Amino acid sequence: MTEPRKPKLRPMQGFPPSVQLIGIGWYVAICIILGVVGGVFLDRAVDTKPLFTMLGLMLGMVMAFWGGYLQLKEVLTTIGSGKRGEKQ
Amino acid sequence: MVALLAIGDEGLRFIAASLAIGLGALGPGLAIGNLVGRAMEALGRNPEAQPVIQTNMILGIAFAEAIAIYALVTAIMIGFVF
Amino acid sequence: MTRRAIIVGALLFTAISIVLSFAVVKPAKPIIEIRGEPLVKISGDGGGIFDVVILNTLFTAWAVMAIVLVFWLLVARRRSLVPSGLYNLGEAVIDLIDGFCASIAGERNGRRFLPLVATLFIYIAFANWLSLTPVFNSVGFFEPLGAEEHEFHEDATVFKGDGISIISFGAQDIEIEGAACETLTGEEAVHCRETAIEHATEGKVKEGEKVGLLVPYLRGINTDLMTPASFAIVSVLLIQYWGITSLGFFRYASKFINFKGPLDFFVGFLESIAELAKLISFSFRLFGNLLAGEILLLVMTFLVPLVSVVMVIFYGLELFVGAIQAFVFGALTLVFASLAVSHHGPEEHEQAEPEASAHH
Repeated sequence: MTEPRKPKLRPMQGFPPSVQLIGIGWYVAICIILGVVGGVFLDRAVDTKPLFTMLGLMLGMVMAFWGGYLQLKEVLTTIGSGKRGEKQ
Repeated sequence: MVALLAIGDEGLRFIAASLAIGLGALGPGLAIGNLVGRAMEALGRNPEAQPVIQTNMILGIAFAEAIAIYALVTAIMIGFVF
Repeated sequence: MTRRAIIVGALLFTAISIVLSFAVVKPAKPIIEIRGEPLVKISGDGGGIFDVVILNTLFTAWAVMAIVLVFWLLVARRRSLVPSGLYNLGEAVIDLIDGFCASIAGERNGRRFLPLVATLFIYIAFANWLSLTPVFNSVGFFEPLGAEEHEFHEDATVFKGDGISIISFGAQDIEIEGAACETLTGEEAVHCRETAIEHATEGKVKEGEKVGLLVPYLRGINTDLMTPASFAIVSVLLIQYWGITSLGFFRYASKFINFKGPLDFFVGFLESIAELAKLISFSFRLFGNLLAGEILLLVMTFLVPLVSVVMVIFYGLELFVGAIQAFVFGALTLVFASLAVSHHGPEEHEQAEPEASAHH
């Protein structure tokens, strides 16, 4: 790869993998809940009953799983490099 | 007789559902245990044939478990539908 | 942190969560519906046989089909900006299934059976695993409890009236004794159910609250008997088709209707019964496993709600069972198909061999 453009945000870098996994769980749940709540509010405003709810649900689900997958890759590489470095 | 009358409809339904799944799971339990035991024996005797033995064992387990699932579906239907 | 401090902290957290879940956050009991619930009622109300409704399992089937199609279209586009990781994944999966088909059915027949077996395996596995994601069975619309036949349920929950209807803390479960009203019909039944509902909800429903239940938009597709039954019908019909095109109609029919002697006739009759039993066993195996798994997960999650450690074990079981049932469906279809195209009996082998090379 070429040189990195900007350093990646790693807010949970210092924590052990178990704590990082708690973060992924809360992230998935909050993404889905925000997607659904946003969808329901849009439905209230425009009065189309299930459409925006389902779109919000789908959007929330996609964001949740994509972000969860990226965080999980992070956690797995942490565990992998830890195992190769020292016996944990 | 008086005891049976005192149980009532709902009680008999619970007894029926429990008996359906309880007795229905005896046969498949024995069958799956027997099957996996023989598979382990064959595997110990011939470890090179492991994929073939494992695949056929899973198929056999699915057949035997289907009987238990029939009993489970009957119990669920008695409990929730009838 | 010492190890002892971590263990004590975990036990304390568990104890506090158990107390909180029983005293403060009293969640409602999950209401288990065996049949799929209608989302859009095109004609009729979902009770009769000829009513045209869109069930939530049908809507979920469309969503799962869309997801599977998008995923495999992304896999198949190898000459574009899509990274090559997905293509390797797709190739590995199809290669695995192809090797499995060839090992059981032989080279030629394996390639012929590959599309159906791969579709069954991939679609059922995707559907079973997707039904374990958080969006399934949790988001839906509120269906109020009524006195008509199709609106009446034995269990219901009390929802807050306005805002987003969520099942709030301390929500009441309501159980209605509807058993006495089942023998009546028409107006009397409606009246009987109304009195039963009033009797069950007096004092429990405050101002601005509604009684009803949650109809989820997304529900696992194999929890409705129609989906596994349709898979079973497709599998059995295609097995018959392959048998007929491989062996010819009369030779294939002679497996079932055989007038050579009384014993052969009886064996043929049993074979035809076994073919019908395949329909039932295919559909009920998948349906029973998935429905029981969904009920188990719901009950275990709401058993001690904030401490879902026990639920994690059953979640792992459901992951495993979902994958195994998909594999078993595909593998059994393959095995029955390879049995159907095979010439049975050693006495036919001399005539069968030269004909086998001429066929196809």
